[in-house]
Amino acid sequence: MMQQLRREWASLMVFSKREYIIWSSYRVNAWMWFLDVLFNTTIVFMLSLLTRDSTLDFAPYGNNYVTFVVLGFCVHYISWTNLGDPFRRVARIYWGGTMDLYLLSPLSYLTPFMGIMFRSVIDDYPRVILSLLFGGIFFGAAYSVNQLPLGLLFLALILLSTLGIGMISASSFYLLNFKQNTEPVRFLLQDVIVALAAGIYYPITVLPESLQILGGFIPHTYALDALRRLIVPGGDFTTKALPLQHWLPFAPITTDIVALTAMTLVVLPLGVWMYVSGIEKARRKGTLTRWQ
Amino acid sequence: MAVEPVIALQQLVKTFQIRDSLFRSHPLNAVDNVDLDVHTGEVLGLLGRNGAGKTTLIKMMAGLLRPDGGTGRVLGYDVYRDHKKIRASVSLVAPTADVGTDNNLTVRQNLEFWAVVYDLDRQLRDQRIDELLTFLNLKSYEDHWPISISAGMRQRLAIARSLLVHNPILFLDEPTVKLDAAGAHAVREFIRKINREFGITIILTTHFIFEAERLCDRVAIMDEGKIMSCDSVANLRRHLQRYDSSVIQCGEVPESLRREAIRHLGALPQVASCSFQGERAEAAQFEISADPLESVLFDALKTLRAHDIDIHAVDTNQPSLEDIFLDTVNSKGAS
Amino acid sequence: MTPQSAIIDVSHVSKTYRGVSIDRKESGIGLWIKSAFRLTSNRARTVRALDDVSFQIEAGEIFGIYGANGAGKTTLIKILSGLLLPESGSERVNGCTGIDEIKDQISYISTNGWMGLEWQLTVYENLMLYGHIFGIPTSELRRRCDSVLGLFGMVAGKDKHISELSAGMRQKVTLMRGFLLDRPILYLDEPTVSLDVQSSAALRQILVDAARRDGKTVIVTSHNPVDLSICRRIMLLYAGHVIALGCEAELASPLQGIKALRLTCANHQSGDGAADLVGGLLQLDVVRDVQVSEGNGRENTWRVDLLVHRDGHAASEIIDWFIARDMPIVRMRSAPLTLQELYAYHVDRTTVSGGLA
Ligand SMILES: Nc1ncnc2c1ncn2[C@@H]1O[C@H](COP(=O)(O)OP(=O)(O)OP(=O)(O)O)[C@@H](O)[C@H]1O
Ligand SMILES: [Mg+2]
Repeated sequence: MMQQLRREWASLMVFSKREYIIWSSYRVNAWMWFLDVLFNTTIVFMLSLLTRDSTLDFAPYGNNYVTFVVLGFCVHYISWTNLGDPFRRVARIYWGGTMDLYLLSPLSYLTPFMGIMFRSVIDDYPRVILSLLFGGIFFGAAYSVNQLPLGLLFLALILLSTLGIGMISASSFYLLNFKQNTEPVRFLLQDVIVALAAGIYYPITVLPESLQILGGFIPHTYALDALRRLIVPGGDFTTKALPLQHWLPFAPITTDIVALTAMTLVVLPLGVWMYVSGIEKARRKGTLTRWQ
Repeated sequence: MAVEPVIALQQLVKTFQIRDSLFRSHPLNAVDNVDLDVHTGEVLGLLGRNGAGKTTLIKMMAGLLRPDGGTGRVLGYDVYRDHKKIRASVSLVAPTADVGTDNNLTVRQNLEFWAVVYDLDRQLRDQRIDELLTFLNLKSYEDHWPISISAGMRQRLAIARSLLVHNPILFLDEPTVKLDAAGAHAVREFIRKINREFGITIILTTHFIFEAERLCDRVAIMDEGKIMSCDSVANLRRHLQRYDSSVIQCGEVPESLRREAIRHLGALPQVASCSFQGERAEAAQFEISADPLESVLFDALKTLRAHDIDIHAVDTNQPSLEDIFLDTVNSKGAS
Repeated sequence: MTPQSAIIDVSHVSKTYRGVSIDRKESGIGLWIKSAFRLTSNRARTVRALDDVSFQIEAGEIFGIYGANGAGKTTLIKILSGLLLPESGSERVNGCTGIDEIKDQISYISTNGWMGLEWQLTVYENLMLYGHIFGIPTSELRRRCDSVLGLFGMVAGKDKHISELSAGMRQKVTLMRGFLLDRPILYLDEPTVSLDVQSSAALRQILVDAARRDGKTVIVTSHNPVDLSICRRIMLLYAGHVIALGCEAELASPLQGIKALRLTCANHQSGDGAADLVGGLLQLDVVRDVQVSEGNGRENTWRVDLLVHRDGHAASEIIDWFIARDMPIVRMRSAPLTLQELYAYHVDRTTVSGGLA
């Protein structure tokens, strides 16, 4: 058991090393990466200038719009990676023709999948930190750190729950035999619901009731709600805002924790199970390997 | 046989659904009731036409494809239940060289990567990689990127990858495809070496029939998913019921000497017939048929030399494995 | 050969690649900083892929190219089909010299990598797609598809998806694709990879017919000498150099006084038998060269490939040698020199005399 874990860990490390070599061998990557985050935060700053004198109500989410949106970005980057990337990752393994070679090793099904994720870790997660930094240094975002442990808990929950959805999306590669670029789960969540109802630029409360309810089905909504209450200066811990918070008799943050935990507990095991059964199905149908 | 076979398959079936149109499909038995025992330490060749089911069979034995019927054990593991364990303890080389070669890593980095994935002991890693690079003549390319080396070199890299760990079974699907003569020779020698030295059981497919004849202890000839025959080359030859013959061309042979020689040759055991042709001195030749020829050829040559007959050329005619293969595959098509 | 009849005329073409290789010691953050700021110590290695290559191919000829991995075959075809500009030298293909015209003269059939087939489409759809890309009118395309499907015996499999095909069938699809285009020159890069014995023979016949009946010029590269048996002339390529060019007899002409004897003998001794054999046989005056390798399977024999001088009593002497050692000969044949042996000879000749690097 220990040995197995050690082995999986060693493999994760060398997968990561490989991803790192690949990433760092494209020089443009580094510059693009830096500039991308800078541009994004600049846009936010412009927006914040516009909204400074408006009467828009951010009610429970404090009074710093830049912080508000920078947090939106953080969740967006995490979601982009954990939810959006797994399908492409599996596709990359398949089109590269290496799926069967990974399977022919003592590794578990999940290790290559996780291992190839390191690219996202070095490419995308640091964007979270970078955008927090840029916001703070250049554009006057302020962060309240009194509730840091709770904030980290939410960070962990949003990481896990989006990864679970990502795995569901990835499993459709083998389960539904989607071999092309667009994939329904990811498309529906990432490109439709998240874009529409997650509230990156605006509080979800400004949306019509129906969209608010739709937004209630994705973890992003709860993570954003909680993180903003906790970290934007002047955030409010008691005023209910989301539909679910009105329905449940708990404090808003508690509701967020309950909702996110429940989602994670459903989605993560489901994702793993679907991924494994996808591979099993491919093993039956003969679609696992590209070579003949 | 007393030793338990490493692979034992009974009535193994794999059926693919081939889609005709959106709603209709028909089944295709890619592997059809295959019985096969592979013994420890042997080299088994799978021969067959395109689409005969060789690759499908290999994939099932390697645990990459789930059979649809029959039973099978590989290394004692059940092909349905313990496929994970099977996969962890076999190696495989796919015919497409680019499989498993990351173009962003150098040749050496590629091997270092797979060494960890395949869980090779840390102490062994560098040494094993060096050994393989040297043996496959890749050493001078170790710091090159795979895109910048030729296809044949990449094939060697793929073979090197699969040999990083010495698993008890090695599947080779068309191992020498795309290699030049020297490369193919090196790979064949290597296959032989790892089979001898480490006792690794090897199952290979190839379309170069002479290659199977050189390497394999036994060959299985497949057609349309069935195994038509499976035996050693010598036994398959015996089934053909054809005498091996040999033509020995000689220099001038005086009349008396010729009779003497024929008498001696005819008296050798196992010789079925022996004749002499040649009116003109320079075209004199003896023809000997025997079963098996191998054991008498040397005695025949000795006899002729003992009579001081000058030998110009010797041509033994044994049906090659290619003859046997074509015979097996074609006779089936005719019936 | 007069220049007029040459459909392909390549003169003094050279090409050098700058191969880059990275230093093994470089890794970690150092590598990252180096590459981000272009500080890499990438030592550029230059590879001379083609060096002063000149040859001509006549219209309607079947022309073979034989050479080790990395001899420069792929570079050559890339230049011939206008995908790559030669560094120096000139080429004329079917009367064209401009890059834009050259690229439409050759139908290039390559089998590298995943062959560029559309994975989600059937064989037939792939062919149609490819034909449409090259602007063949639909009705004409249908006719041609049916004819190539018949030619390669793939009619039964025409509705299978590429992902469902066996290795050899995929190879046939790439071949068929090349035959769809009606171009004067066919270039086949290792066409028999993964093909079974019968299919390779069928392909050879198809190529002969294409040259004879349709007047196509066919260029074949292969590592399998059998594939090149249909060629009128064969060019031997080594490290970017043309080391010999001619029909098989011409290639063999410097070795006219040499013949090959191939025998298998029992291997009774243990120890370093092969070296003893080679050493012993080389003592004989008639023997020019010996290769010894292990015999078939577990037969415990040696295969001995001898190149011997034609005059003299080579066979008798060698048989006597084996009789004297009591090493039974179990098989023996005298066969012409293989293409590989000719190649090795020409490589030796040029590397010794010409001083190739
Ligand atoms: N995943 C699949 N789905 C449907 N049919 C398949 C699949 N894989 C293989 N087949 C079919 O099974 C048959 C056997 O294929 P297989 O690849 O085993 O042949 P093979 O003996 O390896 O041939 P080759 O010598 O060309 O490699 C073929 O008719 C092929 O079309
Ligand atoms: Mg195959």
